[in-house]
This record gives sequence, structure tokens and C-alpha cells, in this order.
Amino acid sequence: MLFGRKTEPGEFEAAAMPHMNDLFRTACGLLGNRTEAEDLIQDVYLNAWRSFHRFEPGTNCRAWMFKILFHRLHHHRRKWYQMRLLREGEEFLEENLPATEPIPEKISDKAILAAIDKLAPEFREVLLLADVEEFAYKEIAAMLDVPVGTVMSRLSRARRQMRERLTEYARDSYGIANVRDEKKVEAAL
Amino acid sequence: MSTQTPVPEPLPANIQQALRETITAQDAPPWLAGRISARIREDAARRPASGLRLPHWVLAGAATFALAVAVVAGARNWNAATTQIAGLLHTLGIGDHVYCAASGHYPQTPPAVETMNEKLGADFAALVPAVSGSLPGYTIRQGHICIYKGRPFIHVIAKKDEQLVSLIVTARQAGEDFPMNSVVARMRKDGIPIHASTDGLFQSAGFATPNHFAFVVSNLEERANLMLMASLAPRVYGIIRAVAR
Repeated sequence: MLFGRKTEPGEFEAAAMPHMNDLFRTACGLLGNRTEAEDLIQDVYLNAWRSFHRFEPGTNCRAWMFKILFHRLHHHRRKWYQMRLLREGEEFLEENLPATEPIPEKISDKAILAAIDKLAPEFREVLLLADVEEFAYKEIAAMLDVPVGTVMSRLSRARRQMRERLTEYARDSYGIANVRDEKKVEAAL
Repeated sequence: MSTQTPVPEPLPANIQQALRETITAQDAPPWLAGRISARIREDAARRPASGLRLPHWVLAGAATFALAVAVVAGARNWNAATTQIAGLLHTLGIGDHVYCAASGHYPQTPPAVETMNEKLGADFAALVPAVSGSLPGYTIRQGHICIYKGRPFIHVIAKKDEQLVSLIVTARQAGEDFPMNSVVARMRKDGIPIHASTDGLFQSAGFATPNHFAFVVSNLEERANLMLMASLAPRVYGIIRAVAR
């Protein structure tokens, strides 16, 4: 398309601003830092505004904004961090771990945030998109530019790690020797 | 071998609930929406109002093409300009210098200053001290108005040993100009663009005012001739402009 639409800030804001809180929460969950999330969200919105002429009215603006969020997040990570990538051996090991221990029933915010923080970035992304923002696998795959199968396998591992880490957290935080005792865990949390 | 990925086992309901509640509890700060809006409007104000949006490859191609056209056109203009400038420096500057000074059409004994002032007239008499002030050790050998190819030239000749220098001023005629002078000028002195050329034997450097050309022509080194014109230019420019008023 050689000629795009002429866009006005008001039109963009009406379409994009309702999703700001969702984007901000996801950014916080991904970065684990509110200040960095605030900077990232401003960057996301500025980039989205500059690309808004390419957005097709009637399509999913929320998914489009999340795609830009991940694009900018990856740029942010390339700039500031060395992305931690899982090696094949680790993936194989995780896929073949024995069944997890029972998990606690009541879980604090602190435990959730600590567990998310320990996830690898690529696992954290799919977990937040699927289990918090409730995007479909296909939508997540489009946002992250990965195959649907990768989304599913990452999500599978992310969920398993969440369960394990919440169990570990309960054990470490409350001195519970055997978290298989669900009543003890419940009482402790 | 099947490559189908198994559907992920869902999180236990209590974990999923806790995860949602924890994440959604983190509201954006109240100021963030206002700051984003301000940045967008600031960016919108800086950008062109046109709705024309072209892909990057089109813009890059257009820019390359425009640059190529500009380079070709610029080269042509440059060549035309330098040719025209050299023509004026040679035909007017070097032409009169050769006709009047290099051929020896000046007295062996320097004329009195009063005589030269009389020949030059009140308007241009100030050119003599201007030249002598810029050429210490030189003798002013002539100050007069000569006619070369039917055209009058104000001409001051200075000499030191074998070095012969002319300051020449002539009125511009229709169609004569130093085009694109700010681009192709050899140097600028107090904002005056100075052009230069050589025919191998004589060096010519000059500038234009709205009504006149001024040249320094000599057998000095090219750079020395240019620097002499530069040192004279502000004062000579002032004298010529005063005449025009």
C-alpha cells in the first residue's frame, strides 16, 4: 500500500489507550520493575503511534499493541541484557522431569511474583499472554514471531516451572519439610 | 515421526487465579496516560501534516534517484558556472592586464599621485592607496582608465622587480555574472565570494558587486594572487559600492 491513512492523535488514542493497563501489567510481569515498565510502555505507544497508519481498522488493536510491546521488549533486551537462552539439553531435561509435587492451595502475591521472576523471559512471555491476558496460541505465535508449537511447548514448561517454584517457595519460606502435606501448606500460607 | 506438540496442561485453578489477581493488581501510574498523550501530540506536531505514507524502500529509492539527479544537475551547473567564471576572469581580467600592463603600456617613471588621482577621478582615486597598502615594497606604476576592446577599465598597476600586479575594475554588462558564486567561489573574505583562475602564465582572482567586477591579475603564484585579492577585497568593495550610490 503506497498511500496510508492520515492519522490523528485522537483516533490513535481512542483505539490504543484502553489497553494501556494490560500492556503495563504485562510489562511489569516481564521486566519485574515498574520504572522500566513505565519507560517501555511510553516507547511502545510512541512506536505504535508512528506505525498507526499501517494498522487496519477493524482488526484486533489489543493484539497489535501487544505485538509492538514484544517487539520493543526484545529491542530493549538486546540493548541492555544478554538474553538467557535455554540449551537443548536443558529443554530435554525439563520435558522429562518426573511429575511435580503437589502445589499449595493458597498463594501469596509475593510467591507468584517470585516464581514469575525466576522464569526464563521466553517462558514468562507466553505464561502472561496465555494465562493472564488470555490470548489464543495463534495470536501469541503472531506476536512473538514463533510457531504455534513453540508457544505450546514454552507454555507447558512455564506452567510446570510455576508449579515447582511455588512449591519450592512455600518450602523455603515457611520451613515446610514435606510440601506433599497439603493441609500443612495451606496452614502455612 | 510426529512433530505435533501436546496441548499444555493447564495451571491448577488456584494458581491461575492467583496469577491473574497478582498481575492485574499492578495498575499503571495515573500520570502515564497523560505523558504518553503529550509525547504523541508533540510527535504529531513535528511530523508533516500530509497523509502520504510511503514504504521505506520507495523513500530510499526516491532519495537515491533525487540524489543522482542532483549530482548530475549539480555537476552540469558546476561545470557551466566554473566555465563562465573562468571566461570573465580571463577575458576581462587577464585580457586587460596583458593588453595594458604586461605589454608595457605604463610609464617607466611612476607618475605623481596627483596625476593618477586626476586620471582615475575622485571616485576611484582611493584604489591607489589601497593597492600600495596591500603591497609593501611595490611601486605604483600606473593609475588610469584604459579602454580594451571598447570597454573602459579602472586600472592600477604595481611592480616590484619582475612581479607585475594589476588591480582592475570594470562595470558589469548585461548577462555578466559570477553564477552560483557562493558555491564555486575559491574563498570568502568578509562574506565576499572570491573566484580565481589561471591561464598558466597569469593568475586572475576577482569578485563581483551588483554593478562592477574587480580583479587582481599578476604573475605571482596562484595562491599569493588569491590572497592579495582577498586582502584588497573589503576595501575595494567599499570603494566600488560608494561609487554605485
